[in-house]
Amino acid sequence: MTLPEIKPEQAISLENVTYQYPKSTSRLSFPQWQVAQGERLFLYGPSGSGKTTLLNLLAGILTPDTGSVELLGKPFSGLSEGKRDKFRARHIGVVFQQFNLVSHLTVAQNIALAAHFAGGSQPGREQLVALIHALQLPAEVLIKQASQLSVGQQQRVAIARALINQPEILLVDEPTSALDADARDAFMRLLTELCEQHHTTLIFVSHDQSLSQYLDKSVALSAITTAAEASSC
Amino acid sequence: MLMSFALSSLRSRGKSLALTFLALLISVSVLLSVEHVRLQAQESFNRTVSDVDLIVGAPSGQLNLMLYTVFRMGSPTNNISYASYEMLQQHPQVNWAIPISLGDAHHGYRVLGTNQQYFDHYKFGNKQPLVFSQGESFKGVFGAVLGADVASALNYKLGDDIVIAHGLGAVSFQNHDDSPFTVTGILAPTGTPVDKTVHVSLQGIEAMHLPHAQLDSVLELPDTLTNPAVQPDSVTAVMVGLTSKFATFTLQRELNNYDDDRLMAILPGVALTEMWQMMSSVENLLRFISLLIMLSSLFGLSTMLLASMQQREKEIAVLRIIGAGAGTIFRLILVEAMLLAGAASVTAVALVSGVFAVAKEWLASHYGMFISANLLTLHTALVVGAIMLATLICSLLPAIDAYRGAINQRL
Repeated sequence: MTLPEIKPEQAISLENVTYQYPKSTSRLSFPQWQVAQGERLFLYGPSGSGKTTLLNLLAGILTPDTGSVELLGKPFSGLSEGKRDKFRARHIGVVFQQFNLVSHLTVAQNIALAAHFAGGSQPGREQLVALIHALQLPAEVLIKQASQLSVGQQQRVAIARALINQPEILLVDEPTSALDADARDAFMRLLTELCEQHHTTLIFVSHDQSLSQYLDKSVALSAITTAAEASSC
Repeated sequence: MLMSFALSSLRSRGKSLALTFLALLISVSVLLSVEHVRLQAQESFNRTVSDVDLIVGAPSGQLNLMLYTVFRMGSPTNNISYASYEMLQQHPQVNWAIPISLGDAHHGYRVLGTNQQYFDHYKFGNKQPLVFSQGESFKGVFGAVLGADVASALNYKLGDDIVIAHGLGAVSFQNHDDSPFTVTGILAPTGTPVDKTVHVSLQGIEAMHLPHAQLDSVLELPDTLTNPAVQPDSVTAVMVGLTSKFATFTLQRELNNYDDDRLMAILPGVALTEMWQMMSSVENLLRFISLLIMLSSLFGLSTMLLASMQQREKEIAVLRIIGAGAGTIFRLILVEAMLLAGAASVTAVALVSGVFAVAKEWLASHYGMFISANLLTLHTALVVGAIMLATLICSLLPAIDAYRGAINQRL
């Protein structure tokens, strides 16, 4: 991985960010929140508390109504939509709860597609095999259609897909909710190991606090939002 | 990348895709066939007669005269005198004049009485003259020259004796049994009504209408056209070629005001155009219907794409999250629609060409329609281009839907 010459201290920095839900009066605000580079953060909170909205803001799918989102020292929320798409493709990896892959493409094609949108060179076969191997999957899955894999396999391929462009930031949303306990443990170990190897900043969102043991630090979503309500009201 | 993704996505939606493809294929095929038949019919129509400057007959309507002289359809109303034909032949502005005498049939094929002028000057298509595939033109009273279709359909050879019936039906009670004709020549196919005509001499037409006793006396004499008993006194019409095209209107006026006989002269080009305009309402109706079919299948395509948006929400979310812009999603839907319509168009061109290649003979022999199987024309390209454009417009709605969905997509 090629690191920038002057490495910004903060991977993520939110400044006075507010977001008003459309067709609703409820509003989310994040007055001040920073995540350091290489940090692996567990973010928990009950359903409906705005975890997913926060991830949408971080991924640039949503833009804040006020304030700014800075990623890797860049004013991310101020970029045009096209530039945000490009930035997301190159610097941010995302793994959802489920359905991370395009079901009618093979695993190799799914990974190649992510590389395509990042504008980088297509991954070679050795690179793919190495990545798949690191995720403890057999090399044959590369030529299988995504829909033929088990959910556990799909989630691991999703990590491979998210990591192929060696993103600085990895956003993960309840990735283990469809997995059983054993698979969950294996998945969490792999995820944190890979992030550590690549020095990737990891934001792991879940309502299941038992998962916090796998990560460096855990933060309740309420801790970064409630302060906002107090100061803004 | 967009292309291969679209292909893979289309493949994954096999059944609904196959049905949409079939609907498109059928409608594009119908549209192409109608357009092709329309153009080919017009061409085959316009090539029936060439190089004739005036057609002269008894006063009726110009369409009527055109129908029975050129298309050999309908029945002639009145004849003009043979003297008028001779007048035309000797007219200084007339280069050649072909007499035509109609009114009889042989097994449903029209019998046309004429003379050597017909074989020398009658032209079709792009000024192509008539060519004998076998034999030669008749020399005596009882010779017959067959059109290509007549010879092949009735299986006649040179030297066969044929019997010509009075009247136009395929079966006639009044067969001219005593006046047998001998096949002296067979014409090469022309793709025009000439192929369906039996040509005999003017004198032959006279001979078969003679009373029994008189006919016997004619048959006893040597078979020459100069036999006084069978000299024609009238013809149905005359096709005229002029020495100079500039004389056309002068001569037409002169003939319409001719004192010794009641004549009417028409310009074949003008009459053909008028006839084609009559057919154009049918033609427009056909086009309209095929356009409606096309439109409904395009809506089908649009519906299919719209319906698939629901199931593809996840796929689009994945694309968005790996950095595909909303514009990419928009283009993806358009590319899919275009691939589908493009594949349907190519298949339709192949299918319609194949059908016409097979049905060509049958259409020509049963309907006198001479349709080429070559669909690769500029017009086809224009039709396919219009279809693609219409597809583009019809798939804008699902594409915009996908674009909006992509923008509002949450993780």
